[in-house]
This record gives sequence, structure tokens and C-alpha cells, in this order.
Amino acid sequence: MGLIKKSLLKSLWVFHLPLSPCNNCDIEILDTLTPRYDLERFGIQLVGSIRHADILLVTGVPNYKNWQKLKYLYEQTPKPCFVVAVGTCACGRGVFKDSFNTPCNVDEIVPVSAYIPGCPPKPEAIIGGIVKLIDTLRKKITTYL
Amino acid sequence: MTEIINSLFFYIVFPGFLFSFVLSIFVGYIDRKLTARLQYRKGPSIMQNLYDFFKLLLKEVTIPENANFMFLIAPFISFACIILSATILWLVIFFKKSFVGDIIVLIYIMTIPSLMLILGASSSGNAIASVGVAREMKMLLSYELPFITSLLVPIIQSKSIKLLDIMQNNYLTVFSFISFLITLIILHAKLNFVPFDAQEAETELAGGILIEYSGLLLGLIKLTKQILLSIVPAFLVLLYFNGGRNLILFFIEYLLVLIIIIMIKNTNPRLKIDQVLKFFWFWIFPISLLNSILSLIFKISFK
Repeated sequence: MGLIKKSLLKSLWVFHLPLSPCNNCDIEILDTLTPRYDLERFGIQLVGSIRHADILLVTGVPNYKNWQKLKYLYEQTPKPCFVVAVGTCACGRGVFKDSFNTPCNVDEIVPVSAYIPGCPPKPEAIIGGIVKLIDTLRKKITTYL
Repeated sequence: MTEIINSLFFYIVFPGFLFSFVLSIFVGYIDRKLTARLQYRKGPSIMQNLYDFFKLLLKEVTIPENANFMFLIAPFISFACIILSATILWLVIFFKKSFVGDIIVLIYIMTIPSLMLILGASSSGNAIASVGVAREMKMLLSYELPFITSLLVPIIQSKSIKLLDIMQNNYLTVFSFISFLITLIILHAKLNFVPFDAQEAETELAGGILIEYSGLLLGLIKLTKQILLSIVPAFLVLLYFNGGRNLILFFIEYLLVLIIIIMIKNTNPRLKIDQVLKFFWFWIFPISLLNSILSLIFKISFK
């Protein structure tokens, strides 16, 4: 049990899912994965395919063109998988709240496990958010196993 | 009856499955740690590959709608074949057990994982996977012929197609050193490491040939790659150096060859598939053919 529980928490593979963002958060996410912050220490890797992912890092606001694609990609991900909303837009639409083409929040489409606010959040804030997500998962991991 | 039990023991426990699994975890740790140190970062812990494998065992296996049974079977067959080739190789080194023609068997069995990956990925029905499959096929066509011609040199020098005889009678000459370098490059392509990883290019094809695989199947494919990485240095040391005669010397040379492979991986950019094809057919194949013919002439004239 210990090894199985630890193996999920120690090897979270991240799929980067941009929902038409302004690229600020994406640049910060790429910065998080550079050697300076070295997330591979914790087993976190950026993967290219949705089938390999454990975490979906969502940036940007869902609009009429892509909110169904977000749902579709979430359904395609092998479970257990967790959604992390990065940036003010993904957390609560930010300045685009009353815009003409943004129908809903990310958490109205898929269940979000962690919110990382900021415009854009610093790499330290993103790492802090992931660590808080891991702490939360450690407490309620029994529901998945 | 005892023969069968012995063979099963060899295949499942000591030089086979369990030993290869533990060794591949260790070799994968060396690979990732050295890569991390070369990029000025700390790198993962020694258990990281084990964590990755167990996590992939836990995950749900998703099967594409129009995939057929080959998609499910292919990773298992490639895993079984790589365990078989590891067993044959380690039996020669640890127990001095060998049979006539096992180098030919090894060449065949080490090709099967790539073939199985081609079959499995092409049956998934994904467009990106089919691009990866096309590249993998071109890669296979480009490196298999020079692989066989460059393996002729140790066979000629030790006058045997038995791995044990090659291990005990090989000696280093100019020809065998050139053949060693060529085989190193070719096995690098077989491992799909960075100068030759166009078929699973993470940044352009998003995983390419592996894109539809998830869970247990992906874990088996990753484990197959790691076991291949753990047997490639042993294969090279056995064919070209005198390490096979002494286990301590063997492991020193094994680590050296492994470090060379990881250094090549970390200091080279990715080649396009047409560049790979040109490199293997117009440079590597003529050199290796000329090399083996010259070594044959040399062997006949100076006995």
C-alpha cells in the first residue's frame, strides 16, 4: 500500500492544456520545468500525449469554440487524473467575466483539484500549488484505490 | 523435466525477468541522473523509475474505438522477446552457457520489439501514430543492414557464430574498433535515443508512436526500452572487449559504455528522418561493409 500510494504521488505527469490563453501563464509553466526549478526531482514530467497524463494544467478562459474540447480531453484522460487551473483566467475568468464569448468557468465543465491564481503566477507559486495538490491527494488517496 | 524447470528459472528469476527488471531500474536511474547532472540540475531519486512503472500499472488502460487486438498484444510480445534476449545474453556472461548461432537468434529477437511497436501503433488508428510508424519503419530499414554487416567483424575475428566463443576469442584491432563505433551508433538508433528519436519526438509528434498507449501497456513499453538499454552495453562489451572473461572488468567496461551512450544522447540534436536514412545508407553501410571485407582479407592473409 505504501509503495503504491507513493508511486502515484511521486510520478505525476503533466499535460499542458491551453484554452486560448494570452501565453503569459504558458511561459511561466515552461519556466517551471527548466533546470533552475527542476521539477523532475519530484518525478513531474511534461508529456505530449493526453493518454500519458495525470495532471491537466489548464490555462486561459474556455470560450464557445473550445469548452467542449476541454470536456472531451478530460474524458479521454486515463483516470485517476486531476485538473489544475493556472492563472486568474482559468480560476475565475478574470477580466473576461462579462465578455461576449466566455460562457462559463473551467470548474463548471470539469472538476478542478487546485487553483493557482496570479496574472501570471510565478514559477514558485505554481510549484507551491502542485505541492498543495499532492498534500490533498495524500489525505484522500483511498477513494481512488 | 529438470531442463524445463531450469530454463523457466533462467527465464523468470535470475538472468531473466527479475534480474533484468532490477538492473533496468538501476540503469534507468543512471541515465536520468547523469542527464540531470549534465543539465546542471539535481535529478530524480533512485526509486523514480519504479514509481513511474507502478503508477502506470495503476492507471486506467484506454483503448481506441477502432483498435484491434494487436494493440493490446504487441507490448506483451515485445516485452517477452526483450526478456528472452536478456536471458540469452546474461546466460553467456554469468553461466558460460551458449549454443551455436545464438548471435543470429539475438539479432532476430532484438528486432521484434520495434516490429511489434509498429504493428500496435498502426492498429491504434491515430493519425500521429501512423506518422510515427512510417518513421519507425524507415529507421528499421536503415539500420538493420549495417547492423548485420558490422557484426561480421567479431564473427570473422573469432571464427565462430557462438557468443561464448566470440567472448573468449575476441581481440581489439582497428577493424573491430571501427565496427564497435558503428554498432554503438546503430544500437543507439535501436534504443530510439536522441539523435535518432524522430518517431516518438515529444515536441513535434507528441509521443508519436506511443501516443495512444496508456497505463499498463505504456509501462510495459517503457520497461522494454529500459531493459534494452541495460543489455546494449553488455552486448557491446561481450562482442568487442575482453570484459566477458572477468566479471569485475566486465562491469567496469559496462558502465563506461553506458556512460558513452548517455553522453551521446545528451549532446546531440534530433535528426530528421531523411537525414537518418542518408546517414545510415550512404555513410555507415559502405564503411561497415568495407570494414568487414578488409578484416576478412586481413584475417585470411595473416593467420
